[in-house]
Amino acid sequence: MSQPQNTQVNWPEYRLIEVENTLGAKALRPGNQRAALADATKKADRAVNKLSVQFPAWMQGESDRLSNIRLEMAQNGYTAERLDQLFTCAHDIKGQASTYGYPVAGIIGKLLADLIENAPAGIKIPLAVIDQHVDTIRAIIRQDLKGDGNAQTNNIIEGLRVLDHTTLKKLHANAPTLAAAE
Amino acid sequence: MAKIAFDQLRFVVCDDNAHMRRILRTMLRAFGSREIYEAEEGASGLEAVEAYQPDILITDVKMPIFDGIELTRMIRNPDGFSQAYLPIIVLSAYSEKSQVIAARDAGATDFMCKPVSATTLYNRIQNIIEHPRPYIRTSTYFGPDRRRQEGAFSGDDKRIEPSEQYTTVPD
Repeated sequence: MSQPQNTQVNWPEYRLIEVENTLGAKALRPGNQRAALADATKKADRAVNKLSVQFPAWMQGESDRLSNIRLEMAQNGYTAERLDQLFTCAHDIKGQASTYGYPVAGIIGKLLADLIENAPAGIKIPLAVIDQHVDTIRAIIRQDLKGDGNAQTNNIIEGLRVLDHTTLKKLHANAPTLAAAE
Repeated sequence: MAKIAFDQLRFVVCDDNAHMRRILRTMLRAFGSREIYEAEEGASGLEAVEAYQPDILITDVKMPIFDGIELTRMIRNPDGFSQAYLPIIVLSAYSEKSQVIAARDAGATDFMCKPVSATTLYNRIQNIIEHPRPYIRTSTYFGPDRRRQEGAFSGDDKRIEPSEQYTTVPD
């Protein structure tokens, strides 16, 4: 994009810069906006749908990545770096699982990401709690549980929510003592 | 009423997740775009912006080296970066208000939450092209005007006095 020609309005504390709409001149064409949107999104949805045969494998890949980080933490130590990797992976699952057709896995990815983000710094989250999230995501993918879930998955999500809440409460309550002991 | 000639637009898509880049590329290609360049983290995103001079950057937030917020901040440098006015759509799995505000305060043009839909992506791009906002430069901020310019309100004007709003029917 080339540097636009600007008109500047100066005030003592800030400048308001009216930017020339170079993109509009370059890419706006007369036409029916609503029809163009409908046509473009229909084509895009069709293209993404074609891609969707690969989504279970992609989701499996994300689930394996999560599982491997968890295993690394258990076998080679709970480090800040591995916890960050685990957060990144859970965060990716949160953002992508719905697109891949696994919204329930996305909800659990969000729970795990929130748990890590809200835990007090320097305090270890019990691996058993992390395991429950990872194992649930793995089970969802293994059973190819697509869609919005059912009463059973709702109960599992609720159970994990309660577990996370209780865990965070304990971690925060013990944070000063544990941090001092480290 | 206008439509967008996507074949005239060049994009850089910056996301550390290859699958997400592929989904975005698939959508943009289906819209008609032919020039889509990819980067997998903030540093290579900055290089891609310099090298390809895109019309629009779409960037994830959480990425290694430096994230999408830092990338946005680096681009919004009118004295040191040639693409300081580049429209930037920040895309994130974070939907919390604090993240939206962080992106806005870094100078993002728009914000999109994952999962991304074709309709939302199209609408964001259309809005950027049809309704560009003026830029603001202060000692602490450079970027699009953070106050949204809403379209004309189409409902009843409640500020009009009742006597102005209704015709009194005489007894």
